[in-house]
Amino acid sequence: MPEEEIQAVEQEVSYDPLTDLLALVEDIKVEDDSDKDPYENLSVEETLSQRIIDGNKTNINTDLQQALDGGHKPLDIINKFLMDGMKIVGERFGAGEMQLPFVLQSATTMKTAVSYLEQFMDKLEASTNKGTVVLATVKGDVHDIGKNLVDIILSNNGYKVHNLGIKIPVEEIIRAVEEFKPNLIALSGLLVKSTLIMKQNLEVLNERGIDLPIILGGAALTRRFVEQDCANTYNGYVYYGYDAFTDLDIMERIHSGKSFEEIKEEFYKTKAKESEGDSPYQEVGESDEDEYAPLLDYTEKLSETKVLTSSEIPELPFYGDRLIGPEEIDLDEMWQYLNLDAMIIGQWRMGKGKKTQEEYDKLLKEEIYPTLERLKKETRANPWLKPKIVYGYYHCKIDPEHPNKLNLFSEDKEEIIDSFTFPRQNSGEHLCLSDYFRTEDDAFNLVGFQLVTIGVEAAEFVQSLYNSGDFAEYLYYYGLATESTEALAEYSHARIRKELGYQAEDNKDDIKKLLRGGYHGMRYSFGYPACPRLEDQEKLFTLFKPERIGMKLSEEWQIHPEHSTSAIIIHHPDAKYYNVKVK
Amino acid sequence: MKPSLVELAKEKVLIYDGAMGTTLFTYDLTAEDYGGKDLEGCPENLNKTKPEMIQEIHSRFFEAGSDIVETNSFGSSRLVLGEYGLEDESYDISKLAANLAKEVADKFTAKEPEKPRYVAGSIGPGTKLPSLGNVSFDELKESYKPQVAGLIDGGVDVILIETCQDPLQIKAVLAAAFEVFQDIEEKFKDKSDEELLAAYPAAVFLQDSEKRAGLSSRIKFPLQVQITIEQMGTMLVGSDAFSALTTISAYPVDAFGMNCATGPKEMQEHLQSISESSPFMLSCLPNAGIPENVCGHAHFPLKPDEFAEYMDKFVRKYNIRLVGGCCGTNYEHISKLAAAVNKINEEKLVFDPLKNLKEVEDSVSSIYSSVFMDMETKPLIVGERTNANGSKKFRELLAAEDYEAITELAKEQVEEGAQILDLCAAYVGRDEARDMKEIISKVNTSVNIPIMVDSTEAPVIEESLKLISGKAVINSVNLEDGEERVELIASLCNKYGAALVALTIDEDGMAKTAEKKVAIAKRLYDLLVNKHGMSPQDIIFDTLTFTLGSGDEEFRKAGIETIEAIRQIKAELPHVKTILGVSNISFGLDARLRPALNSVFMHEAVKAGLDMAIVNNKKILPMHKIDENLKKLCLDLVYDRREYKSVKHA
Repeated sequence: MPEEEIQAVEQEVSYDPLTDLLALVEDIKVEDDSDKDPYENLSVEETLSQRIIDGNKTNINTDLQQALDGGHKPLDIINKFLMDGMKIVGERFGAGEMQLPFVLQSATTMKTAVSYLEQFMDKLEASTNKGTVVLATVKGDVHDIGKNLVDIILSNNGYKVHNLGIKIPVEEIIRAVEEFKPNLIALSGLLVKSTLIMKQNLEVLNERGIDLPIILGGAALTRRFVEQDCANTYNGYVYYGYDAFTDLDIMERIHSGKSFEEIKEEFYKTKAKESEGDSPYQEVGESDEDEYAPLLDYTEKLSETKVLTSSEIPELPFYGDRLIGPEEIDLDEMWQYLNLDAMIIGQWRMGKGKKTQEEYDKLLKEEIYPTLERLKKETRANPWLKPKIVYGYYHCKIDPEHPNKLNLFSEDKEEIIDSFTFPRQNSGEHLCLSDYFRTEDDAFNLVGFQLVTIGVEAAEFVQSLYNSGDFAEYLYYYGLATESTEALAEYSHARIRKELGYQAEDNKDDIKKLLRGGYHGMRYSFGYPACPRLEDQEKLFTLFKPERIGMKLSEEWQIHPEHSTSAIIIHHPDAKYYNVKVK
Repeated sequence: MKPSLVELAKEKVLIYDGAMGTTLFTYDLTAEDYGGKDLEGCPENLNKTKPEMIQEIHSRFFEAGSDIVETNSFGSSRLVLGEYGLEDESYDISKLAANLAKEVADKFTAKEPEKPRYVAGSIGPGTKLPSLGNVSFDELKESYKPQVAGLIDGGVDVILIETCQDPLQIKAVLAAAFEVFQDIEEKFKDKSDEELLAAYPAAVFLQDSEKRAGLSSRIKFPLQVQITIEQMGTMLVGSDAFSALTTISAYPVDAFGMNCATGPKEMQEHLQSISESSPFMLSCLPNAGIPENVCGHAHFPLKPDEFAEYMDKFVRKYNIRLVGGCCGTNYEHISKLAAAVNKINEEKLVFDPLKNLKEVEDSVSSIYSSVFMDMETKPLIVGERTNANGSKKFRELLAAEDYEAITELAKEQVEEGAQILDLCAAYVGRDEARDMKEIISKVNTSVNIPIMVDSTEAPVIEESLKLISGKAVINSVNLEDGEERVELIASLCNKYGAALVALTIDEDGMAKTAEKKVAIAKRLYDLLVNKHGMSPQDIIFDTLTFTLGSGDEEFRKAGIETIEAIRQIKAELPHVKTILGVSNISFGLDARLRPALNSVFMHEAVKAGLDMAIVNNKKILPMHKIDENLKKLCLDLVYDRREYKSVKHA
């Protein structure tokens, strides 16, 4: 419409799209937007299941309330909708499609939901539980996390769990069984030794007339050992706990009224294909007493050992021991030695699983590494771990009478102050740790030791996370604590190598290789095959008095606090890891 | 005088030396050689304690056929030397390393003037990764400054930033280098070019077209950047080769390539991706294969003949101009390599720097990957939900300082299809710089799309850029406060390698007509490109728009003006991009109407040449999903197709 005309004639708008649009508003269906609801297309029931799968507890109360308003009973919501989600979580976890921290987020969501629903249950409902379990890590074993996972999964799915703790003697288990009258006992342990303790415990339970079904779980166990050796020993039913969801699976079957025999048949059948063969941990795991004891005095075929006599004995940096406190240890320097694979795959259980490399890389980049950085940052700001080291050097010589025995000498080299005897392989290279101390002309050699801990504060901190119900954080920090302990041992060993003048041989450019022994000499922890006698640590405690840094030795020669480790340091260039087993 | 290294490399393929580190190991050095127990394992200290040995290594590589040797200064930055308590010797040790190499190079050049020999000042990655927050950008930059200065004062022909594992670390070295150039410029400001050249024969005088605001305006020194791609196929922090190239392409460097981590074989696919679009000369210095641990020692499996064979193939296939070896390559590897390269040089392969440049120059990047801004399917979606001006949820999270949840919000947008992430923390009463730092330090590594720093505050922009590993976009600059501000923001873009959104606002305010919008855009273009040295590819014009929802007569044509301005800018200013905050067009309208109007308007703007849209992608509807009647009304509103009837007055 040309302007000049507007002046000539009066214009009236006959069509204005804006007016028409505004009139149309009521007819337009647009999904509400402001903040998206990821569950907008799902029913409230489906939403609740999906929230468990996603581990999304934000505003879950609204959905729960909606379900309640819709006429569902609190218990039905738990047993149907929430458990449906949990089952899928279990399946995905079992199939390696979902990683542990995400599982724990699901468990935390479950816990949040259940505690909201509790207020709507009458007393009877609230007190009813689907079943009761007595749970413990067996005597002599300090490993907490696997057991706690079982606790988390079961107690967040409506079961009452009496978590007795770690290093639990069988008498205490029996007392708990009498007091709590559980449907089932679940025992955990990581050490190879623990598998034997479990078997012994089963014998004691037989004697006391207890025949409750038992689940045995832990890395050193194998399905064959549980379903044959243990099952044959015990008068009741024994199940192999493949993972924490196995316990849930079995409890669900008991809850649904299945007989133990039925469960056994179903369970052995459906799960039999998994986890055949030996646990990968067994080979590198801690040594079994019975296997090496005869080898302490075994000295045949000494001539077959190929260990070269040490031609160069480094200068003793100092005699005796030294203490390094937390103020001298830079956390980042220590963390240089963090074994990322062990932490991410071993502790955090965030292995590649069935993901493609691309998906896994994405996970690493977007979830895992940022999480690690966040943990480190938070730890720097609020150091819950207090690394401490005692270490030192002694003059030493192989006992002239006993080639497996290493004598430690006083500073003036006049007196023998202690000695260590190591087992010798009766096959292969016939190696014994003492061989690495051979010298020319009967000269004195030197040996190093170290005891390290990240302090009792670490365990307390991690426990507080567990208690607060933030299970994913618990897992992350527990893993960081465990691997920080190893990193501290590595850090301490690096310091020793520097003092001995071998620092240049460190494979600095490749931390993975360094952690696999890419340096001069070797470090052996007590309890592992080459020096399997945990009781030898008593001698270390006498020599180094690590009580000064808060370490204690238990009756079973386990070091407390949990996050501690000890080792003998050998400077021989050919020193390596080897297994000792009766062949 | 010998020709400059960069010029010579355009004519013939030049040969670097082999490994310094692994060659040193063959000398069985003792703690004493290093200068004592505390310095054992510090190769840079050998410049002081064993200068004759370092020179012997340089000599033997020259004898083997190298044109260029690297100074023994890989770890001579303050931070790395600090591990041995030598941080205050960074400048001296770097300069000494350069002096030692230069002395040998000069001897060889004097003997054989037809084969001039050069020295590259080696700068390694150090021990800390800034992208992971191990060290701050400023600390890192300060750590490199004495190293760069020492190397240049010691007479190197090129600064070689090598074995890079983190793009942000490269940016820090480049920032250090630019400051050193400026320092030299300042020192010689009253001196003639001849005097400067006499002191610094490697200095390059800048043409007017090469001058960039914020950087030295008279000289520069040749810069070569080499990234290290691990066996997993990315740099240590996860960047792929192309995204690292994108990040570096925003800087005035001379050569870009790869070294270390793997042998030549594993480098091939990455060389391919770089060579197809690099604006720089390509360099390649692989290891002698992937090291294997044999008896506790690193063993490099690739024999000299095999090594040379690979390199021969690569030089021909990817037009590599600078070749050499990294870990495990010895005199013999270089000698075989030289034989192969000499043959190639007889064939006179020419360097063609103008091959397929478009893609990398038109891209921006995150730490992990790059995004091409000129794709076929337009527009590129810029996520707008992490913006304090646009999102209530974001404001709430900001107030609660829940940076984790903000990161989640950022990730959600990627899932919803955002290709660039707009971040704006300008919120009254809060410390914008601090909020941006908190957010970016998380988002930088947890979101895989490039970041658009949405702020008008120069200090906020600068602190943000110090945390971003990729090539970011700054949003935005305008002429409201005059031309000085434009220079300031352009300087930041040049210094940190970023693209820039420029708004059509001048001293009179927001332009309303197409004519005014285009005029401002041209004025900004002239300032940014011709005066301040930015590349037109990195300029993104936002022609702005106003709501059609008010019915206000003044803005009835807002849609038409905006679309027309886009059309003209794209036609008249080559290579620039356009962007638009689309949802402004429907501001104030009922939420049920907005998605349709926004979508229709965006569709029309794209037809006119819109490259990027700041939108909530979830709320953009495909045209066929909009009811026909609704679509027609929206179109009529955008193009103001009101109808009138005349009413005659009696």
